[in-house]
Amino acid sequence: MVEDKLLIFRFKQGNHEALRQIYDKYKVELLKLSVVLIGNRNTAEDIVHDVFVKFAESADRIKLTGSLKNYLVTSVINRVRNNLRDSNRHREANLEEVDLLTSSERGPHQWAVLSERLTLLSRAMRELPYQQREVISLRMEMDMTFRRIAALQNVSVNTAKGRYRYGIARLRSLLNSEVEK
Amino acid sequence: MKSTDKIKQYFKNAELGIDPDADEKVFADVFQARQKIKENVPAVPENIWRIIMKSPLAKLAAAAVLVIVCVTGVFIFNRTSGIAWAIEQSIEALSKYNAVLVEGSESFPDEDGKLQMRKGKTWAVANENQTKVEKIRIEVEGVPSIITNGSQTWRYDPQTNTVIKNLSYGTAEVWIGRRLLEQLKTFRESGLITKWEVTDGKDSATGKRRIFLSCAWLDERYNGPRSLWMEIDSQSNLLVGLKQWENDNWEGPAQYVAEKITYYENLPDELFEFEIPKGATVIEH
Repeated sequence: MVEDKLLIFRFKQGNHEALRQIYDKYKVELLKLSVVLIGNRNTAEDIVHDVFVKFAESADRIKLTGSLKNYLVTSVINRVRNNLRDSNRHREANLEEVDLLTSSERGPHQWAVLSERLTLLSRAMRELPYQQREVISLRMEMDMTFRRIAALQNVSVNTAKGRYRYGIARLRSLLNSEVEK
Repeated sequence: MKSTDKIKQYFKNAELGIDPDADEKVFADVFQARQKIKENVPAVPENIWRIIMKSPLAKLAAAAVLVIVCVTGVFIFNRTSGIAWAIEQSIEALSKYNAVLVEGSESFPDEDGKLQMRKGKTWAVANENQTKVEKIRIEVEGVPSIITNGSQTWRYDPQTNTVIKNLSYGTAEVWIGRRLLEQLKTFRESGLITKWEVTDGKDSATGKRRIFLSCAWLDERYNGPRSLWMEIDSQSNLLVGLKQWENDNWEGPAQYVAEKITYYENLPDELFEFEIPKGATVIEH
């Protein structure tokens, strides 16, 4: 956390290497979170791309009260929520998204290279209601506390725990033998 | 293993790779976004600039941050004549900086009583006169162990998850910058320091010329016996490395080694605040 504060500080002073270090430190974690949450590699890439661009643009105005990681994770979450809301509005075809996720063809703009396991996980996660997906991803991937997740979802800690429990049960049955490997 | 743990492991093992070409393109976008913002920032009027500069953070921002890495394996000429360096030059150079980050390692006895080394980082800010340490943050193996913000002190023991507040003993007192060399100079002039040798050489990695000061004393009044080996950059005259032994002849492994020293004009206040870990026992003095 201290390292991050120093990195931001140096970045704000115009140290380009600090921006590179922040980018390299968090890109994989954020991409993975985004892929698991949204289930569409291209959209996930766009979201993380936008998060970093926005961060680079607005870093001078950012006053971190918590960790940089939490700030970036929250930025990803907000963008994923906005994207899903817009997608629901436009009723985009889900099947097309699944194809994009599992496609092995690497296009010129492909940034994230998904392992087979991550593809399966993302597909299984898509079967869960979004709120459950969010709790599970933040807990499993980001090691976030239930209290913090509850605050992020604006619900009680018990509700967050309930969503986690139901989500895990469903995920277990969806992944079935995969988790035993 | 519980099924939740298995799913967690599945999550952790679900890998995501990065395509390097695409990665460079994305970073180029991020970098460009930053550059555009910087180009569009209007010039700051001088009077506002002065107000900004009153902020310690802005001062740190404006400070020329100097990082000098002390690389082990220096080539020492081992001669004492013709060295154009005097301790006053380093005292003057160090007085320009009010804050420092020292990265290195210290020895500690393990359960069998054998000495082991552990990595540590120390951020420190001097008081106004640069005579004492005002704020300090000491991290051992990445875990904060002692933090002082000038009015409060926290000591944290991760083994027992215990925080001791406001127990003042044991924190560094003498400022590692100018004050340290001033004291050594005084000790030498008073005859307290019994061994004093200045040599020069080159850093084998960078080829930069270095001055090496070795000194030692026996007197118990000054935490003695102690021996010091200090590495000074001959261009900037700043102290860039230091080793300390608890004997007067540099014998055995050093008790403390400073491998990298970064100088700042100031450091952000946030560095010297401590967040009490969840579930920690707090003992207040």
